[in-house]
Formats: sequence, structure tokens, C-alpha cells
Amino acid sequence: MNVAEILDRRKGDWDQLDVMIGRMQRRSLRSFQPEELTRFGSLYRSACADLALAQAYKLPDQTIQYLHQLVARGHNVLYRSDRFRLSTWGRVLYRDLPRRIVRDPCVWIALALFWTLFLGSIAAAIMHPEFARGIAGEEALAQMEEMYAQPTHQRDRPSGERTAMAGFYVFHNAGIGLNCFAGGLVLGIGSLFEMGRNAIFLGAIFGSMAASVHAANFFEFVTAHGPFELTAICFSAAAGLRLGWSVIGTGGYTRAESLRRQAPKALALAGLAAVLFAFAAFIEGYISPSPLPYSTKATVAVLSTITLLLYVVGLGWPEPREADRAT
Amino acid sequence: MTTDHAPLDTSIRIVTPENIAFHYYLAGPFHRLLAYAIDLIVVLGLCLALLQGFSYLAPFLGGAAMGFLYLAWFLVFWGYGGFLETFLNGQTLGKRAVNLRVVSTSGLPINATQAMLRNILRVADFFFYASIGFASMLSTRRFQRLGDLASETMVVLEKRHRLIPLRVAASKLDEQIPLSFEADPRLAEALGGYVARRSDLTPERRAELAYILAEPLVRRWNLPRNADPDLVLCSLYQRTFFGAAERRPSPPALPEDHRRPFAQIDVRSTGAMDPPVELATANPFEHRPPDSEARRS
Repeated sequence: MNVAEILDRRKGDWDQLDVMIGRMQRRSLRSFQPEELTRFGSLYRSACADLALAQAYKLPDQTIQYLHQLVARGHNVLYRSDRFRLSTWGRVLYRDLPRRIVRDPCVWIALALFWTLFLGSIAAAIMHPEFARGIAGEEALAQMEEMYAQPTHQRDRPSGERTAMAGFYVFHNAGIGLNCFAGGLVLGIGSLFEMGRNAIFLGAIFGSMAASVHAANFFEFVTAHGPFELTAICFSAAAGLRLGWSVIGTGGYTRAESLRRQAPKALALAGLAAVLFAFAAFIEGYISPSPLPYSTKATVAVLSTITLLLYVVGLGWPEPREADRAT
Repeated sequence: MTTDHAPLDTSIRIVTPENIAFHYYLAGPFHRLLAYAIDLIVVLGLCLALLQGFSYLAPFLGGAAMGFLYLAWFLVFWGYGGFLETFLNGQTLGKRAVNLRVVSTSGLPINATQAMLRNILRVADFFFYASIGFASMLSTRRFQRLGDLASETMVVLEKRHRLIPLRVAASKLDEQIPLSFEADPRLAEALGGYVARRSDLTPERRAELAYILAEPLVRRWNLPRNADPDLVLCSLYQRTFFGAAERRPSPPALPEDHRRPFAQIDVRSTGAMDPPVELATANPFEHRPPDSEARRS
């Protein structure tokens, strides 16, 4: 008996393996009997052996190709990756992320740049009203004036509108944040541009509203959700910068490898930013426009600032212990 | 795990821990664009369906329906690709339709982080009318766009191969081929390649191709002059890989570096670890069955 014949007889096993792979792709590993799993392992390894034989004996190409794809699919279900585990995400969120934020120059650069542009734009808008008009446009400013003409809590709001607003803010703002993050991939330019644009635009509106007679109404609206929202846009940009910078300052790795190492970290930061955007959206939908007194809204703002500080500084400041550093 | 790539080809070679090297066929920009177009249609359809669904719910939810709609849109826009690629093992509906799959560059399935990352970063690839992603694909050897580079993934074509019958029909010619005939590895390879492809060729083309190899053999063995060259090659193939009908033939000669294939995968040692498998039967050296068994086939 020769090789082709042996392989010809193994067809039954291959079919069995093929069916098993199909089932494993669809169902979780737990639904398999231990014997089935051992059987799978041995079938897979013998298919590997068959492939080696078929290659060594130059069997027809199609047989080799068939075995190739069988082994490839088997390989894919055998060496499956840990797709999604909550505990990993928890560790990243409560331990790794705050530590990285405190020590990441990108975060501080983004924060500094944002606040410089934002405050500068406010100052410019207060001193030169035409600056605000040029940036935000005549119509938008007129609209804002009209919107805040009466105190926030006196405006008539049909029920459900708050949820609608919250949903819209998540859609819109978190979308901007993710765009800002992704834009950073091109040397960080997209992130800086998006963040700078938002800083100057928001600054122009803040400045012109601060100079307007309805300033009090405006600030009553924006106070509560401000801390989360402004921090979120900074974090988004910082995550984008981290991506962009990883290609420039490679730390001795190749550019692709450096990008690959930094990207998951940046993604975690961008994810945190998206969560902050969602928090901000809910505050903006439910608390900011509500008839609650200003003091309550200010308290919300203070509390959210304290939360952020506790998270970033409280969890992130302590030096990692040696044991943790190794992991 | 090491990776290697054949120059001037769009396949990637990956060596598994079992020491099996297999090839992934990389998907080029246009395959992927097609899959993306399908995904885009699915996402838009999903968004419209959500709009429709929430408009039915509006009487009960009031304005809140709008909020939930926006939330759902956000999740669909940003999460569609990442979610499906995580839970459908690297495939979205579009990729499934075009037979593409996202895998790590190491050949392993992707995880949630990789799936989310590459899908969110698609935005950057679509900058300047997608020229960035396109340029990146053309300048990396695995056709990776920026999102792929960051998440260390590649998109491969999944080819499903049908197993064709190894045997070809026996003919009278089989008996006329000298029993001493023994194909060397290169001839065996040529015969295998010919038989695998012959069903795609027209009879004229078969005759033309087969003639080159069959003609000298026909002359040497004094086969009938009018023997169909195609049939001659089929008989040779049959003899090479399955042996003569009457007597047990010698197995096809081992490739010159005959120790290598078995150094790559030591059948016996693997077999020893898993007694239940008939791995040992895959080892030709331990199986010299009696003539009767060969004759049965």
C-alpha cells in the first residue's frame, strides 16, 4: 500500500474533522464532551501529519490544497484567542488606564493645548465680537442668543425630550470623540485639528455668550456637564496623539511595531473618553436643562470634577509596585 | 510562530506549532471594497429599520424614542464591525458574503480589542477619499490598511477546496506499462498536477499537453501508437500513486531530501502521545501490507 492509498482511506477522518470544526466555529467550547475535544485534537494532529505526507510525496495539488484549508480551519478553532473577558477590561479600567493617563505626556499636551486655545478663544471673543462672529457665524450666534433668552428651567419641555437629547448627544459627541481619536493615526494631525477646532469654536461661543445679557442662562446650562465633556474631548485627542506619536517616537522599535504596541493603550483611552461623553450626554440631557436650582447643577459639576481627579490622580498617582510592574 | 512570504505572490506562509506551513491568500483592496460596500448597505438598512421600528414605538415612548434611536444608531455605526468580527471570528456579513476573514498576522483569530480598534480606525483610512488606506494597503506586504497595522491584523481570502477523487478510471493501458516503471518525484508531481487540472481542459488541449510527456514513453514501451496521450498519463498517475492492479508496486520514490518531511513532523513521536489515533498508519515505513490488501483495491 502506498501513500495515496493511505491518504485515500483517511478521508473519513477528514470529513469528521471538517464537521467538528464547523460545530466548533458555531458553538462554545463548553458544549463539547471531553472525549470529543480529545478526539478533535488527535484528528487535527493526524490531519497535520497527512498534510506533511501529501506534501512530501507531491500528491495532486488539489489534495494538498484541501488539506491545507482543513488544517488552517482546524488551527483557527484550536488556537482561538481570548475574545472578550470582562475581568481584563476591569483591570485595564481601574489599574492600567489611570496610571497611564498620569504618566502620558500626550494627555498633558492635549489638556494644555485644549485649555490654551479654549481660554484664548474666550478672551478673543469677549474683546473682539467680530472674532466670535467669524468663527461661529452670525446665524449660530443669533440662534444661541435666542435659545438662552429665557432661563433654562422655564423653557417648556415636552416629556421624553430629555431622553431624546441625551441620545443625540451620545450619538453626536461620542462620534466626534471617536473621529478625533481615529484622526490621530495620521501623525496626530487629525486629533490636534479636531480638538483645536472644537476648542476655538466652543471658546468663541462661550466668549460671545459671556458678553451677552443672557450669560447667566447660558452658564446655568453648560455648568453641569462641562467637566466630563471637556475632559472627554481632551482624552480623545490624547488617545489620537498617542497613536500618531507612536509612529514618530518609536522607542527603538520599528514604526509598525511601535504603533502596534501603543494602539491598544490608545484604544482604551479613547474608550474611556467615549464613556465620559456618554456620562456628559446624560447629564446634558437630564440635569442641565432641568428646573433644578443652579446650586445643584454646580454641585454636579464639582462632583464630576472630583470623580475625575480621584480616578486619574487617586488611582493613577501611586507608583506601581514591583509585582504589578512585571505583569 | 514564524511568518514568511513568497515574493511576488499574495499569499502568506505561516508555520504552526505542529510545524505545518500553510498559506493564507491575502485579500486585495477590491475584494475588501466589495465586502465593505455590502456592510455599508447592511448598516444603512439596519439604521433605516431602527428608524422604522422606533417610529412604531413612538406613541408609547414619546420623545424618548428619538433618544433610544440615536443611541442605537451610535452603537450600529461604531460597533457593527467590531461586534461582528469579535463574535463571528473575524467576519462581518459583507466579509462572509465575499469569503473574507480577518486574522491576526500570526494567523490566529482576532480578539475584541483588535476588532474594535481596526473598525474605529477605519475613519483614518478613509481620510482624503480613502487614499490613505489605499496607499497603506499598496505599500504593505500584507495589504494592511492603517487600522490593520495598528491592530496587527490582515484580511485573508477563505478558499474552500473540494476534495476531488484521487483515483482515475482504470484502463487497459495500465497492464501495458512495465512493472519496473517508477516515477521520480518530479514526474510524480507533474502527473499529479496534470490529473488535478485535466478536468478544466478541453480534450484537444489535454491531448496537446499530454503528448509532450506521453509520446517518448509510448515509443519506449511499444504501446499502441494510437494510444490517447491523456489516457497514458492517467494510467501513469494511477500506477504512481496507487500501484499496479496485479502486483504490489514499490511506493513512489522519496524526495531526495527524504529526511526533511519527517523531521518537520515526526509522525511516530506524535503518535506515541495520542494512542487512540491511527497516526501510525500514516507512516508508510511501518505499513508494508501483504499483497492481498493491495490487490483488493
